[in-house]
Formats: sequence, structure tokens, C-alpha cells
Amino acid sequence: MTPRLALRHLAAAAVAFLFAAGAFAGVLPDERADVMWKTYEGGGITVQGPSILVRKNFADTVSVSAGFLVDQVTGASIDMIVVHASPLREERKKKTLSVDYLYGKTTYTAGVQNSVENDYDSSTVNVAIKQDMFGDMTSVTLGASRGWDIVTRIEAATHRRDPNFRARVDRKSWSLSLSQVLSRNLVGGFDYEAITEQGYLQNPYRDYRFLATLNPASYNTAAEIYPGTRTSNALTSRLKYYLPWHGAVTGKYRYFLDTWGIRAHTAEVAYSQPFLKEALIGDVNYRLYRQNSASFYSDLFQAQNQQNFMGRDRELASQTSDSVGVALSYDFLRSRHWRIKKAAASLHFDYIMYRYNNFRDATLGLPLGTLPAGTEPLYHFNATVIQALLSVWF
Amino acid sequence: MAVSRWLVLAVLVAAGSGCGRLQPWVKPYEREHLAARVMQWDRDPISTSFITEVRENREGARGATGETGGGCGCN
Repeated sequence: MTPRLALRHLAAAAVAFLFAAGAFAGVLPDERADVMWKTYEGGGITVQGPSILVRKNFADTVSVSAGFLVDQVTGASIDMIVVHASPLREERKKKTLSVDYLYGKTTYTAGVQNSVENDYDSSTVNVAIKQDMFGDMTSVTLGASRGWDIVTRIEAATHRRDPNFRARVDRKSWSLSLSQVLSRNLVGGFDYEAITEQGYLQNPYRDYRFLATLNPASYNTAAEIYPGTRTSNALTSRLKYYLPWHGAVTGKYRYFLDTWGIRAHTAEVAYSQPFLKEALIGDVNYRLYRQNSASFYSDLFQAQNQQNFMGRDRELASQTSDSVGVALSYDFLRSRHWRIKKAAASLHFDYIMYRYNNFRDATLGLPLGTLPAGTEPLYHFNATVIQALLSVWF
Repeated sequence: MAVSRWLVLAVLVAAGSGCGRLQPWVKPYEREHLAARVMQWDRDPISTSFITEVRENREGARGATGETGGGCGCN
């Protein structure tokens, strides 16, 4: 389905809902405030910083959510080491604002978000319509978003933006979600999203490798050449089942495909168990991700300008990742105290193992000549994600 | 393609207007288990947002996660 056709379908469906929806009262999300400190460490990169998210309701019909986060990024990834780039030290700030308006069983949502990095600025607006129906057993959400990004490049010598390089990315997405109560203990749903991007879609710092003409055991590098458009489709199905001993098991599966030839499968299972009369909740999860490589990806091309599009980003390589996660959440305040209804502290820990099937660790071939080009071991790395949250409901 | 569009419209309009005589088979008073905290799809949205970003920056796939994309953060 083309993006334009998908948009027409979603717009027609939205109009149908507006006419068909009955006027009964729905429910706004909980009023709460979250403060989080998160860290990611893996592949030579460390990301850390605070996140804040606050949601406040007004007059039983309006819910406003505002968020702010900072990512401090340090280190040097494998791509940077190969091209001898200096270690990274940058900061990203992201602000989000979203308003929900509840009218009967319909929730209208409009949101904006802005993200600013040393070399990448991004703005996004999104709208959505959610309709509860069929005795609140079914909920359907239609969404759309539009984004405008500015891509720049930091000069190694001056550590400032290159005044001669400035590119754009335009993004659009359309989504359709269905949540369904299936029995007293079982809920399920589907999420579909089409995303299309146009503009400068590659990383301005990354190169591809090609065999050196005079010495085939060695290689040279050149700036990547990406297509100027990308359209993707993703469909997630999900089920959640309540168990007799008050636990819950969740299963999810996502199928992804895009116009760059990437096909991906994501499977996830999770288990949640409350303790101490639900004051303490423990979660464990396992996630498996697999993808094939993009049609224009190669770890080592035979020659420079071998084809019209050439990329060596590891995100485009064939890869498998396994991740396991555990989380604990403890309600340390459960009765109303001043204006606070409840307060909880949570700790999330995720361990992710990335394995690449056709992306080689070129750093092991440095200095050049240590190993013949294309014989380096395949790249792999492990990453840890830790998130500590303090949540207050009011 | 035109047929599928009308089919989608017909199903959605029927669903939105209550589907005739088909009644909800799980009554509101039978949804105690479904209201449990462990049955929420996303108990901590702020955490889900970060882990989704971590994954999407290192994988080729994106979307259908319930998150709004935007920003690079792609190190």
C-alpha cells in the first residue's frame, strides 16, 4: 500500500468513526509525574541523563502531558574508530507536549515534540483519534504524524557545525491500533504503522569500505550513498493473559518490511507478578529480534561507485539480538498524603546481546594490513540499559 | 483496492454503531482481572519511550510500538 493510499484509508476510517460513535463517557489517563535517570552502555558508547514526564487532567475532559529529557552521549563507536574520528561528547534535549480531549467515548489527541542535538534538529507534530466502543470492549485508535528534521555535521577541527553542510528529512507516519477484550482474563490487539521519509537519510559521518585497487587485501573508504526515500510498514500483534495466581503473561510479535529490502521479526514474552498485596510488582521479559540486510548494504564492496546506492551502517546489516530484562516496582506510599495518592520507586535493568551476521569488526584489522580485508571477525557487542524511576500519582 | 476500502469502512461503521444485536460478552462487573495493574500494556510510559529509542537506533525496524518517532540520537 502506498503512503498516499494508506492516508486516504485512514482519513476515510476516521470520518466513519466520527459519525458512528455514540456519546458515552470515557476515561482520562491517570494524573502522575515521573522522574527517571537512565543509562545505556554498549558498543563503546555511553548515554545517560534525566527524563521527566508529567500528566495533569482538567475538568474531566482534558489531559495534558509534558515531557523533557536530556541524553548526554560520550564515547566512540566502532564506526568512529574505523574512520579515526575523535571520541564523541554531545548532548541531546527533547521536549514533548501532548493534549487529550475526551468527548463521550472519543479521545482526540494532539501533540508536538522537539529534539535538539549538536548536529541534528527534529520537530514532530502528531494527532490521533481513539474510540471506545462495544461496551468498552473494543478500542480503536487512528493516528498520524508529520516531522521535519535538519541534519548537520560537526567539524572535527572546530567542533562546530559545518557551515557548508545542511540537509533535510521530511517524515510522515500513519497508524491504526485495535485493542480488544477477549475474555475475563484475556486482552489482545493489533498495531499497524506506515512510515515514510524523504531527504538525507544517511549518517553524514559514516563511510563504506571497498577493496583497494592495487592491494586487494586492503581497503579504502568513501562517503555512503543512500536512497532519498524510505517507506516502511510494521504490524504488531499482542496478547495479555491474567493468571489464577494474579500474575500476567504477555506475548508480542512484530513483522516489519521496508522499501530498502529489510525484513524483520520481533518476538517478545513478558511475565509480571505482584507481591505484598500489589505493593511490589516484579517483571521479567525476553525479546528476540532478527533482520536481514538492506539491498544496498555490504560490509566490503568490490569497488568504489560499484552501484548507485552503497551503505555499510550496521543498522542495515543482517543481525540478531537477544535481550532479557527485569524490573521491580515498589509502592512506598499507598494512602493519600497531602495531595499525593500514591508514590512508587522502580528499577529496570535490560541486557542486550547484538550479533551481526555480515558486519565485520574492522577495528581488529587496524592498522591496515593486520588482517586481509573481509576476513575480520564478525562484530558483536553487549549493552546494558538501567532506568531508575520515581513516580507520583496525584 | 476500492473493494477493500469499502469493506474496511463497512466494518468500522458497523463496529462504531454497536454491531446490531451482538452484545459485549464480558460485562463491566466481570473485568476485575483486566483492571489489575499487571494487565496494563504500558505501566511506565517514560521507561518504554527510552527503551524503544535504544532499540530503534540500533535496528533497521521501527514503528508499531505506540511511540511517536522523531530525533536522531543515533550514536
